[in-house]
This record gives sequence, C-alpha cells and structure tokens, in this order.
Amino acid sequence: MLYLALESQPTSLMRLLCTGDLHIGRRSSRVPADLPDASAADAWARIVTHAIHQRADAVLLSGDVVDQDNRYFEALGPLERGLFRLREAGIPVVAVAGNHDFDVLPALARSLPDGLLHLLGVGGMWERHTIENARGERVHVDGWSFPARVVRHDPLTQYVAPAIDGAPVLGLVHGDLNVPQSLYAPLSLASLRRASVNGWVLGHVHSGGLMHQTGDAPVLYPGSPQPLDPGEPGAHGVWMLTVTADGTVAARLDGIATVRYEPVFVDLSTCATETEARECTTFALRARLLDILTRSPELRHVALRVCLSGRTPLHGQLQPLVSLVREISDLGLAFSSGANATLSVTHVELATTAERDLTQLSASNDPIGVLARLLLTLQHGDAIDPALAQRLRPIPARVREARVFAGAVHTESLSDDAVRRTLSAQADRLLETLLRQRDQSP
Amino acid sequence: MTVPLLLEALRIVRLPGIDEPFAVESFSPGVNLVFGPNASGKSSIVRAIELLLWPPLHTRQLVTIAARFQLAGDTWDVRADADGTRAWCNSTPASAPALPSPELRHRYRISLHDLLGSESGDGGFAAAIARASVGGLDLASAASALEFSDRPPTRLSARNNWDANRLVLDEARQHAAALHREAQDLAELERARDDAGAAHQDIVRLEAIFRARTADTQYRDAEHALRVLPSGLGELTGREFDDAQSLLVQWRALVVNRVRARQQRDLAAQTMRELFPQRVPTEAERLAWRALASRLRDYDDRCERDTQSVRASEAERDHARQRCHGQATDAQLSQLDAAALDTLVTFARRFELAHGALLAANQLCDALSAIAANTALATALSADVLRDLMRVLIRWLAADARGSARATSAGVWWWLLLSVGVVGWVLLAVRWHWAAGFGAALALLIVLLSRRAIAPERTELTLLQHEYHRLGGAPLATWTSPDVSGALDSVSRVLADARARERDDARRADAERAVAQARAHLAPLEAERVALVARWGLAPDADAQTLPWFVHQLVTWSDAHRAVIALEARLDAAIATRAATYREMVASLAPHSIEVPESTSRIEAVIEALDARSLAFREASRNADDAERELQSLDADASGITTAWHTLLERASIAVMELPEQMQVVHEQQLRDTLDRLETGIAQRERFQELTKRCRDAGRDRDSAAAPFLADDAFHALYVQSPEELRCAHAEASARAAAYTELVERAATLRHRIDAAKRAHNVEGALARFDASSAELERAQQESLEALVGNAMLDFVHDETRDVHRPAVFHRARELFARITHGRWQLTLEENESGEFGFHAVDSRTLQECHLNQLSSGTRVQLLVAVRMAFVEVTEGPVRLPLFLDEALGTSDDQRAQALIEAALELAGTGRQLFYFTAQNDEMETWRTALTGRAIAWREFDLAQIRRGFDNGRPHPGSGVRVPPSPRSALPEPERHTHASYGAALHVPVIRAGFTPAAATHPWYVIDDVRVLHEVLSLGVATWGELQWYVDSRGRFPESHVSREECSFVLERARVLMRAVEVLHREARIGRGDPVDRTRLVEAGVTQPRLLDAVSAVATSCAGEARALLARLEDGAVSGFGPQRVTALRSGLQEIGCLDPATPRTAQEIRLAMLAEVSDDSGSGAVDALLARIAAAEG
Repeated sequence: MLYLALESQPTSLMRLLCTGDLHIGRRSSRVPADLPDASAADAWARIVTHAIHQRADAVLLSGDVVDQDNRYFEALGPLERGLFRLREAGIPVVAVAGNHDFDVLPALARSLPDGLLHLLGVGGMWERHTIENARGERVHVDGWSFPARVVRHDPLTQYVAPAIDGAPVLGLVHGDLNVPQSLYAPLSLASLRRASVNGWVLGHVHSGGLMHQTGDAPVLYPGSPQPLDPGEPGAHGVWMLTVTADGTVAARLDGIATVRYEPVFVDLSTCATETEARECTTFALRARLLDILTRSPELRHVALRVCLSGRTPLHGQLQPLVSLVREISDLGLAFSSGANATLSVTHVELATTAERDLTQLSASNDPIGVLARLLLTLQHGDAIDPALAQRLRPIPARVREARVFAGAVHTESLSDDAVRRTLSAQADRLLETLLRQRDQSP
Repeated sequence: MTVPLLLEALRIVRLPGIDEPFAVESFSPGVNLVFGPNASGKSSIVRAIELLLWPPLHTRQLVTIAARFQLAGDTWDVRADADGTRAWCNSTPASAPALPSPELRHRYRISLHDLLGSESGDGGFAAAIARASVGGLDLASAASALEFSDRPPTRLSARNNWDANRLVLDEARQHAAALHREAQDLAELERARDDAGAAHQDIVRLEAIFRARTADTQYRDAEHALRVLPSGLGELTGREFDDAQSLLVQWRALVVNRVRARQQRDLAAQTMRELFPQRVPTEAERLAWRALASRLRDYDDRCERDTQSVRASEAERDHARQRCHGQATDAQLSQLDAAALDTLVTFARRFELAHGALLAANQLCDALSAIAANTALATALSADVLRDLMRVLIRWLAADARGSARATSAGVWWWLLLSVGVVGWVLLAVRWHWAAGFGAALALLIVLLSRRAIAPERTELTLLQHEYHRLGGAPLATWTSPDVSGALDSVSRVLADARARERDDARRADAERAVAQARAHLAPLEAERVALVARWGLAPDADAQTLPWFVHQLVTWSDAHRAVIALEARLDAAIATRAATYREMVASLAPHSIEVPESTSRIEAVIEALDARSLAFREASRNADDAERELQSLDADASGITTAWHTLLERASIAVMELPEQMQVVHEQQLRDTLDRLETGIAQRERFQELTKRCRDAGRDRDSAAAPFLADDAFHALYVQSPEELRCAHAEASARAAAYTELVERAATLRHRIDAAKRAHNVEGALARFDASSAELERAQQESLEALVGNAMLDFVHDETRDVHRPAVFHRARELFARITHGRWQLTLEENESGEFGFHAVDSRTLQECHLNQLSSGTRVQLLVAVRMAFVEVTEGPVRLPLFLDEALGTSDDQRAQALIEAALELAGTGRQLFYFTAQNDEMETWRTALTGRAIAWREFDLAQIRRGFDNGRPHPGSGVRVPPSPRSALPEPERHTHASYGAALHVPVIRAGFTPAAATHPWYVIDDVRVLHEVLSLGVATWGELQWYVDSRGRFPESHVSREECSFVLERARVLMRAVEVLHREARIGRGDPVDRTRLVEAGVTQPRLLDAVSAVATSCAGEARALLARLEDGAVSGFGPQRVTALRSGLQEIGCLDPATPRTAQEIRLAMLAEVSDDSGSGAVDALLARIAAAEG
C-alpha cells in the first residue's frame, strides 16, 4: 500500500473507497497478451474484494467505469457481478457517469435492482445521495453525470448546495480540471473551491492524485486503478477516503494494479566504455525494479520505458545497448526479491548527448558544419532554414497519404513539433555518423 | 613537381595468352600508337606493364617479362618471373620506385571494352568525387546506415496486421452491438413469454379444476354408498375371526393355568406356616446368632489358654521359691517390694564390681613382682653407665678405622720414599751427585712427616681404652676391632635388659596403687554385705558370687509372682464376658421359643438347625411368590385378552359378550354365536373398504388438483363456473399459450447469450490486439517519418555543400567532357535512390539530366574517358605514369574522336607518355592526322609484324600501314522524300507515350518541312532538346539555304506541337505509373531469384507496363507466382508508384487534351497529323 496522504483521524466517521476511469472492457496494453489479471474487469473484481476486506462504508465511482469501445455486456457482466458482491457485503455503490459511459451506465442502473447502484445526476442535473452506515453516521454525496458524450460547460455552474444539516458533503463529478476548452466538462479549481463541500472526487484523468492545500477541500483524481497504456506511469490503485465528523477528509492510495508502466532514466555520463554503459543500465534497471516490486508486491508485470541520457563520449555507439535493453525480459529479480512479476521494455529512448562543441563544429562549411548549425538552430528554438522547411513541409502529408498508413495515421506523430523533434534526432544521428567517419578517415 | 615515368622497352617471354616471346623497344616518350588486329597481344602489353609496375604481392604468376623505363633521369630495369619482381636502378639492384597505389592502376587504362561494359558508370570515381565534395565524408553510406530514404519503408505486414485486427475488432463490436440490440427486445420478449406463461397457467388451472371436480363427484358417490354400511367395518382387517378364535384358545389356556397357579400358591403358604409358625428369623438375626456362638467359642478358648498360663506361672514361682527356700521365707518374699528388690540388685552389682577390681589388681601386682624377682640380678651396671661404655667403644672403633686408613696410605709412601732415599744414598755412595743427595734428603723428610701424621689416632685409642676400664667395662681379650665390636654387642644387650627392668618396676608400682584403691572401695560395701547376710540368713562368708546369685533368685520369684496375679485377673475377665455373651444369646433366641444349651457345641448345633429351616422356608416362599406372579401375569393376560375381545367385537359392531371365568357349556355356545356374527361382519368388510378407497382416492385427487391453487382466487372463481364456461376459457387460454414454449426458448437463448457475453472477452481481446497493432503501425509511421525527415535533411545538407567542395578533378572532368562533346553535355554528380553516386550528363540544350545508361555509347565513353583523364591528370602523385587508351575512339564520330585526341594530346604535352592501342586503321589515321605538325614525339608499332619479327616500331608517321578512313554516315537527301518517307528513311525512333521525355522527341515529329528538317539534322541535332539548346544558345540557325523566316515559322509550329507532345506524355502516364524493371520489382517485394528473373522477363515483354504485367501474371505467365503473390505485387507496385490506381486515359481523351492544349495556336489537323506520325513510327 502506498500512503500518499493520511491525516490524523480525530473521530473516524466513514471509510469510502474511491475509484474511477476503470474502463472495464479494456486491458493494459503493451504487455504480454497472456498476462493474467491485466484487464480492467479483473481490476474491478479486485476493487470489490478490497472494499469488502477493508470494510468500506461505500464505494464511489467517478465515471468512465465502462469503456466506450466495449460498453456492452462484456463490460457490464463483470460490473454487475461486482455490484452484487458489494450488496451482499452491505456496501452501497454511488457513481456518476463519464463521457465514456454517459449512456450505458444509466441504462445499467435502470436495469439493476433498486439499491444496487446509486447513479447520481443522470441527465446532467445535480443530485444528492446520503450514505449512512450502521452506526447512523452520514455523508452526503452530490453528484453529476454526463448527459452526452461532449459537455463544453462547467457543471459547477449549475451546482446549488442543498441545505446544510451538519453531515459532511463530498462532490462526485467527471470532468477535465483546468482545461477551459475541454470537450469533457471543463472544471476549474476555483469553482470547486467555491462549492461548499468537504472534498471532491473527480474522474477523467487516468494518472490521478490528490490536490490538497491547507484549509481547502481536497480534490482527488482517483485515476485508473489499472493503468491501461504507457502514458499512465507510476503507482495505480484505489483511494480509501476517510471522512471525519468535522468534515476532514484524508486519503490513502491502496495499490491494486497488477501492471505498472515505469519510466526509467539512466544517466550514462559517467560511463567510459560500452561495457560500463551496459552495466550501468542494468544496475539502474535492477535497482528501480527492486524498489518498485518491494513497494508494490501485488504487481505481476512491469513495463519499462527506458531513457538513456547524459553527456557521454559513447553517444553514437549506444545502438547495440538500445537493442539489448529493448530485448530485456529478465533481470534475475526472482532470485533477489522473490517477486513473481514479469518484465518488458516498451520503448527505449536514446537521449544522450555527445561530448562535442556544436558552435565550433558549425564554423565549417562541410556537412558537419551544416548539421551543427541546424542542431543549434533547433536547440535555440529558432526557425530552420526555409529550404529545409520547404523540404520538410510535404513529409507529413506523404506519410499521411501513404497507403500503409491510410486511415490509421497517428496525427500526433506528424505534428510540427513531432517533425521538429524527429529532425533534431536525425540530425544528431547523422552528425554523429559523419564525425565518426571523419575520425576514422586517414 | 611530378616527374614522368617513360617506358623505353618491353620484353615478354612468357605471359598467359602469349605463345611466342617478343619485345617492343624504343617506345616514344610521347605518343605510341600500337596497331594490331584482335588477339595480337595489345591487351597483353598493357597487362605486362601493369604487372611490372604493380607486381602482385601474394601470388606468383608464371610470367617472365622485363621492361626498362626512365624515371627522374635514372634508368630502371624491372624483371618479373617466377622468383618475383626485381628492379635495378642504373644497373644496380634497388627497390621498386614509389608509384601510385595499385588500386589506382585502372585509372591509367582506358579501355573501350571496359568502358562499354561498365554498368556502374565508374561509381568508384563518382563516389570518390562525392566524398571529396563533402570534405571526405560519405553522406551516402551514412544515410544508408541511418536508413534515410525518400520513400517511407513499406511495412505492409504491420498494416495488414492492423487491418486484420481492426476487422476482428469491428466484428466483435458489431456482434456485441447486435446482441445489445437484441437485448433491447428482451423485455418485450419476456413480457410475451410471461403472458403466454400466464395463459399456460390458466390452462393448468382449468385442467386442475376439471380434475378436481370429477374427483369430487366420485368422492360424493362413494361417500353415499358408505353411509349404509356400519362404520366400524372400515377398521376391520379381515383377520378378526381368526383373532377371535385365537383369543378364545388363549382364554381357555389361561383359565387352566390360573387354577394351577392358585394351587401352588396355597401349598407353599402351608409349608411356610409349618416351618415357622410364629415368625421367620431374619437373616440378621441368624447372623447375630452365629456371631454370638463364635464369640462364645472364642471365650472358651481364651479361658483355656489363660488357665494354662496361670498354671505355668505358678509353677515357675514355686520353683523360684524352692531355690530361695532356706535363705528366704515366703513371708519375707511376700514383703519384698520392687524398691527393695532394686536396692538389693544394685548393691549386689556394686559389690561384685569392687571385689573383681581388687582381685585383678592383686593378680597384676603378683605377676610383676615375680618378674622383678627373676631379673633383679642380671647386671650391676646402670643404664647410663652402659650407654657411656657403648659410646667409648663406638669412638674407639671409629678412631681405629681412621688410623688404619691413614697408616695404609702413609705406609706406601713411606716405603716408596724410603726406596728413593736408599737409591739416592746408594748413588751418593757410588758417585757423588748433588741431585742424588737432594732426593735422598727429601725422601727422608717425607718419611718423617708421615710418621708424625699417624701418631694422633693411636693416642686417642689409648685414651678410650683407659676410659672403658674406668667405667667398669668387662675386660677385653685384645683391643682389636673384632673384640671391640663383640664387646659393643654385649654392652648393647645388657643395656636393653636394663631398660626393660626399669619399665616393670614402674608397672608394679601402679598395680600396687590399684590394689590399694580397690580395697578402699570394698571397705564400705563390706558392712552392707554383713547386714544382708544376716537379714536373709545367708552364710556369713557369702562372697561376691553368692550374693548376686541370691539376688537373682529373688528377682525371678518376684517376676513369676506378678505374672500369676495378672493371668488370674485376665482369666476371671474372660469367664465373665462369656457369661454375658451367653445371656445375650439366650435373650435373642427366646422370642423364637428356642432353648439355649450351656455348651457352646450344642449352641452351634441349634443354630445349624435354624439355618436349615430357614432355607426350607425361603424355598417355600419363593414357590409362593412364583405362583403369585404367575397369577398376576395370567390376570394381565386375561385383561389383555378381554380388552382385545371387547375391541374386536366393538370394531365389528357386535354386542360384547364377557369372557367367562370358567369355561362351561353355556359359555361355549354363547361364544360360538358371537364368532358367527363376527364372520358375517367380515364378509361386508371388502365392500366397505372398496368404497372407502374410492372415496379416499377421489378426495385425494380433488385435493391434489386444487392444492396448488388454494391461495389462487382465480381458481376459486373459476371453480364455481359451469363446465361450458370452463371449456370456453380453456380454449381461449390454449390459443394464448400456443407460443409459450417457443417464447421461453427464445428468451432463454437470448438470456443465455447475454450471460455468455457478460463473461466473454472477445471485444476486450480484440481491443488489446488492435492496440498492439496500432502501436506497431505507429512505430512504422515514426520510422517512415524518420526516414523521410532524414532524407530531406540529407538532401538539404547535400545541396548546401556539394558545390562548395567539388574537387578540382570534378571540374577538370567536366571541362574535358564539355570540350570533348563541344559543350553539348555537362558532367554532373548525382546520387541514386540507393545512395550510390554516379555520373550524369546534362544535355546543355534540353537541360535534361541523363544517367549513363541513358546516354549513347559514344557519349558514355567520352564521359568516362574525360573522368579518367581528369583523375589521371589531377589526382596522381609525384610520378606521372603512362596512359593506356584501348580503342577509346571506337564509338566516337570524327568530331568527338578529334576532341578525345586533343584531350589526350594535351596530357601528352605535359610530358606524359601515351599509348594508344587499336585494331582500326581509321583510328590510326585519325591519330596521325592529329599528331601531324605537333611538337609531340610519337611512334607507331605494328604489333603483328613485331611478333613476326619484321618491325619493331616505326619512328615516323607515314611508314605505318595506311588504312582508308571509315565511311561517314549521310542524311538522306530531302528532295525526293515526302515527310512520311523521309521519316522512314531516317528510322525515326518511336515515341513511347508516357515514358520517353518530351525533349527526346525526334524533330521529324514536329517539323513538317522536310528541308528544314534536313538542315536541322545536318547540325548534328537528333532530338528536340538538342535543337532547342542549339537555337537558344546560338539564337538562330546557321547559315543555310532555308530562309530565316521560314525556319522561324517552322520552329514556332514545332513548339506548338511539342506542347501537344508534352500533354500526350502527361496524359498517357495517368493510370500507368513508372515502368517496371528488375529494380522496381525488387522494391515491390519480389525477392526470390527464380521468380525475379521470370517476372522481370515478363515485365520486359510488357514494356514495363504494370497492368499488362499483372494481367500476364494472373494468367499464369510465371509458374509458382500465384494469386497471393500477384496481389502482393500489385500492392507493392502501387506503393512504389509503378501502378497508378487511376483509370488510364483513352486515346480519345488524350487527343482531346492535346487539342485543348494547342487549340489556341493550331487546329485539330495538326494534332491529328502528329498522332498519325506517332502511329506510323510505331509501324
């Protein structure tokens, strides 16, 4: 368990398990296809078990429980099973719909027996549900659900707090925080602060966290309990929210994810030989993995995104190391940590820099000088030579129109920034190659 | 500063291809023209020279060749044979001179054959120039290593994988969506099912009503029939008659047994009364009696033993009194109490001890006195004197021992010195000598000194003898050591005796003191002894032995007396106790009127008799009890039988007849009547039972049919309806429930599918696979982006740098090439798609850039010659090597050949030796013409004659074999030709629409006037591009017989038609793509060599047209190239641009486009004429 925030609990009132963005119907990508327990449905089953074991007073779901691309029975089946298990354990479930499940979740709520799922704010109208435990303690949950796939306004503009009765109030809404132009219910931190609630549980951001300032109501993005792609690195799990009688909210992250995407930066600036670079890389990966597996023994797979960095004379000779790291699947961790997790490397980024003086190299008129000037231009963020820009301009269109990518183009990879980054990388590679040629020429 | 290497002579003895040795001498330092037919050895000469200049390092050839050359004023001889290559400089062995590296040797050999056969276009030269252009950097190899490319890498597998996964995902999602849509109808379906189910339930209800009502009717009928029968029949089992008979039998036996049991009970009671009329003694009483008898027996035994003990004690007392009798009377004895007796015993013990001590002391004293008397006269000397005597004798013996030892030693020396002294004195006497005298004197002196040393011991012995005598020792026979030792032993023994005597005297004194003390102790006891003797009448001399004996007798009597008294008391107590016990027994037996005899034995006999009677009584009592229990059992049985009898009769509804106590005849008759009535009732039982069963079954059927509907109001409502109404309701419900089964099945199936879908992972798995393939495609896209960006950047770098660092060799080559081609072509350096550099030629007239293989053979050879000559000229080292031209003019016209020769002679003018090998006389003539009048030395060699030994070089031109010049090709004269026939005479090349560059169009197509066309062609112009360049560069036609206005008109019209030709090519390319050749096939993915060869051949036969090729392949033109490969090839060709998916233009569409292009400047007739010419040229 990873404890990110756990405040003193003068009078413990309620323990609420908060999660969202499950996207049931999907599974973690870039992991082995036969990896068990890697789907969001499996994560939901673990969440239910966790709620029962932790004796949670309620489960709060902050939207996008079901993935839009698999929103029918495959996702609803596991969700229903979990809801029934929670009802047998006497744990109510309160949810709001997100942009992915704005239609399917209300339909599901209608089809389920009463009390199995309290879906708040259907139709985009704020709604309150009061959770009351066996001790008679109560917490109000004010929730708002997506009425459509796209919502361009801030739902908080329609929020009117009901009469205060002394019980703590939690807000439950799915939206995009501090992205004013977002198509998915843009929320502002200021409007959240203005609302008279004791804490907010939001959805939509998969790599969540707790935003808490002294005196302010905490704003929690529970994030996806099971990371779905390498863009969601770090620890994932569910949040145990403790709401005390005086309205104090404390949160704790309980790791339940079986997959973890982890970026690892390896500094090779101290390595003088390829062997040292290899050993340094292996050591860094092992250390990071051991740390991760020690903290999160529930993990079954760790997918690494390795970035080799540092100013090193080996720059340009690290391609074999990149290939080696890309194929790493075992670091002997079973002997060291006893962990039962597998390993893969999803991407290896070679971000080392060479020990060279671009300014000095740029003084010549040969290709090396041209490339050095180009790299300096790129580093300074200046506009590149118009002739080169002219040559580069049709490239994204060529890629986009290539038959092999027709209809499957990743437009983000063809943006101006992406082309500029690619140009910088290729210029660096070419410069390194030419410098090596020059060094090797008699 | 470079120096030329000038070959002077060459001798070939052995060389592959040379059968006879020959030598060529006196080479010219300028130009050497070597003429010889094919296989005359021209190439061998070049090869031999190369072997001598660059001998192979590791292989030895079977050659024997030699050469002589001049280098920097030195004469070098070089010989190569099987032993290797050796060199002599000015006839001195030396190492070979430093020459350009062997890799460069081909630069000095310009062979027409090699140039024509070079497909790469001398890429090595081009690459070297390219590297030099970029500062020695190899951009091409770097780009290749970094996989830069103008075409994105074709990752069809990634795309296919993505498409396949997308398809699977779409199918899975569609399936899920379809199921979801179906599920929308599930509620309606289930409502219909429930409605049908309700109808089905109605049917069930109605059928239950039918069944219930039918059963109820049956129930009522049976119940009515039962009412006429006795109700008890229902309880009969059919065995009642037998049971009744059995009960009667049992009853009869019971009556008999009851009489017998009563008799036994009475008999036992009589016996008991006889045994104990009054009361039966209890077991406790009998035990008490036996205990009392036993106690009486014990008391009798105890009295007997005590009586015997009293008698024994009395006898012992009497015996003690008899032994004391005479000294003590009975009166005295009776007065003797225990204290007095203790006093007597104490006194007797004290007296006996004191008397014994006195006696023992007296005896010891007497014994010591006797010993002292025996030893009193043993010696008169005291022990002290004897000790002194012993010390004297011991000292004497010690002194004597010392004296004896010293005397022995001194005696030896004495006799020795005495001998010396005697000898000395003899010598002195015989011959006086001072030494002899000194020795004699010394010897005498020593003798004297030794005598004086022995004297003290003797004096001490004497003194000790006197002391012995003084002390009174016994005189000795001699004072020698044995005697003295014997005396010492004697004195020692006497001294021991004296010491024993002294100890006996001390002991005797002690004994005497003990006698005195014993007497002192005995004196006070004596008075008491006297008084005691007097008191008990004992003898006055009763001594220490008598008195204790007497006292002991007194004690014995006293003990016996006390024992008699005690035993007598105990005997009396036992007798009294027995008497009490006897009385107790008498009292206990008195209630039973039993007399108790005095004798214990008789009492025991009485008790035995009582026990026997008690046993008999218990037996009788047990018999009485058994009889009583039997009677009770019989009574119980009688009660059971009576009850069963009553029950049986009551169940059969027969008046009860009581069973008689005694079975008499009347009773038997009554019982028989009863049994008859019972038998009659049983006969009606089966009827009753049948009706009862029918009634019960009907009731059960009715209840079971109605049971499920007890709480169903509808059931009860329907139950009361008429049968007709029920039948109508049933028919209606049947109609409604007809589809129930189907609806149930459909709903269940749909529900099952939904449940299965809720547990499935199809879409999830498809999404995961699609994500993975998307990631793979994204990587491919990134690779494409990187390749394209890198390539664009590479082009940019290339453009930025290539003209900056073009080496001098390139400029020189371009200059030479331009000079040779009279400015027609410009040399360029380009990089192909593979990143390889090659020379291109740009037509100065059309600005069209041509690859080597697009040039004519002559232009190509000229280009390569120019490049090599430039290399030779610019890039060689300090030594200028000869240049070997091998029929390099073979493909050039006179004008270009002249240019080549001029270029070569320019090199020769720098002092470079030049060799030209040819088998063509016209080339020889050309050379001669060029050399004539120049200040360049030159020679001709007829190699055939040289090898025949006739001639070895000719020093001047004119002596060589003169050959006529080659015939010049001539244009057909225009006068006798129409435009069409003139084209046929010119063999105008065909226009390949869409493929041939417009600039390559032969002027015949666009120039209508035959005369003007002839003029144009006479300028050496062969294409429209050349013509345009010519006009653009010169601004006009050369002077001719065709007017300028006429030419301008013709050219203007030709330009218009050329626009139509350009439209023709552009439109013709639509839907066709690039021509397919072997290279493009590889790019399109055909990599298997066998298939590549076959498909390439088909492509060639199809003129590179992709659609035709694919059609042929689909028709099976290539074995093993199946439909799947054709599909892949189609994709590949489309990807690389060889197959345009657009629809090809029809001929009419092309014509219309051409007309549209030229409509403003010309009519449709010109376009049609142009198309007709094109068609005519195609034949």
